[in-house]
Amino acid sequence: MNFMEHRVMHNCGQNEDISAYLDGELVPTARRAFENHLEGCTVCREGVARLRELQRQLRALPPRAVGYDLTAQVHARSHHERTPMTRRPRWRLSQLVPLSSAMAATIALGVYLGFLISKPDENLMPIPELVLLDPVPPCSASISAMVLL
Amino acid sequence: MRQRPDDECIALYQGGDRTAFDELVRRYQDHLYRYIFHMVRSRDEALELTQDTLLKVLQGLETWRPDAPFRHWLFRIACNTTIDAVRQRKQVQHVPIDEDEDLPDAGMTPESRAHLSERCRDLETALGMLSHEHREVLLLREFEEMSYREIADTLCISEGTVKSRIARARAELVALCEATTETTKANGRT
Repeated sequence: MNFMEHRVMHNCGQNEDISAYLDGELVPTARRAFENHLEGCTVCREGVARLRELQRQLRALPPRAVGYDLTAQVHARSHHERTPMTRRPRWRLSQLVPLSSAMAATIALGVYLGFLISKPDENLMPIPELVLLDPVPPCSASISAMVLL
Repeated sequence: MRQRPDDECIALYQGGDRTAFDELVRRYQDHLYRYIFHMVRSRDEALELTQDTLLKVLQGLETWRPDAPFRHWLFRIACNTTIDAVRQRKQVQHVPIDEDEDLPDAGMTPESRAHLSERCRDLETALGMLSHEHREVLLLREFEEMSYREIADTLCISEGTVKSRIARARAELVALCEATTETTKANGRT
C-alpha cells in the first residue's frame, strides 16, 4: 500500500480522531489503536502537531475581562425590574366590582344622553319662527305732551 | 480564604444569604464575558449580554435544583442569550482588536509585541469567521476546558455532534490561519 492509498483508506489528516485524541476523548482501545497508527503515519503525526499548536495559540490569547465587579449592576437591574410591579396599587376584587359597575353605568348614561341630544324627536312640534311685533306704535308728540301734563 | 463550591453558594443563597450570589458573579463574570465576547465580537454588547446572563441566573436561582452542575446551566443561559442576540442582529459584527493592554508587557520588545499583537488579531479574526455552532463548541472546549460530555450537556446536543463540530472547527480555523499567514507574507513581499 502506498502513501496515498494509506491516506485515503484511513482518511489521514482529516479524521475526527485526531481532534478527539488531542482532547483525550478517545476510549482506551481507540486511543491505543490510534497511537499505533501514529507510529507509522507522518500525515497524522503532522495533523496532531498542527492541532496542538492551534490549541496552544488559542489558550494563549489575551484574557478578556470585564475589569470591574458586576454584582452591583446586576443587583440594580434586578431591583429595577422588580420595583415597577411592586409599587402598582393592588386592587381587590371587592373594590373592583362596584367601581367597574359605576363606570359602566356612567358610560351608558352618557351614551344615552348623547343619543337623545343628537336624534330629532318626530313627536315634538316644530318651533315656529319668532316674529318680533311692536305692540306700541311710535309715540306721537301730542300724546307725549298730554302725559307730561 | 477557601473558595466555596458552587452548590454551597447556591444553597446559602436559597437559605437567605444574598451575598452568596455575589461570590458566583465574581467567580464567573470574566469567564462569561470572554466566551460571549468571542461569540458577538463586540465589547459593549458582550458586557451587556454578560449582565443579562447573570440577571437571568439570579432570577432562576431561587428554584434551581442541582440536576446538573451549575456551570453547565450558567453557560447554557449564556449560549441561549448570545444566540438570541445574534439572531436579532442577523449578522456578526467584526470588531478589530485594536487594544494592546491585554498583552503581557514584561520582557517584550516593541517589535515582538507588535508581532504578537498581529498574530492574536489574526487568530481572533479567524475565530470570528467560524459558524456560530462551530465557535461555541470550540470556545467551551479551549477556554472553559469542558469535556465533550460537559459540552453536550451544556448545549443539549450529543457527544458525537460535539466531537464532529470541534474537529471541523479546528480544521476550518487551521485553514483560515494558514490563508491569513500566506496573505501576510505576500503583502510583506510586495
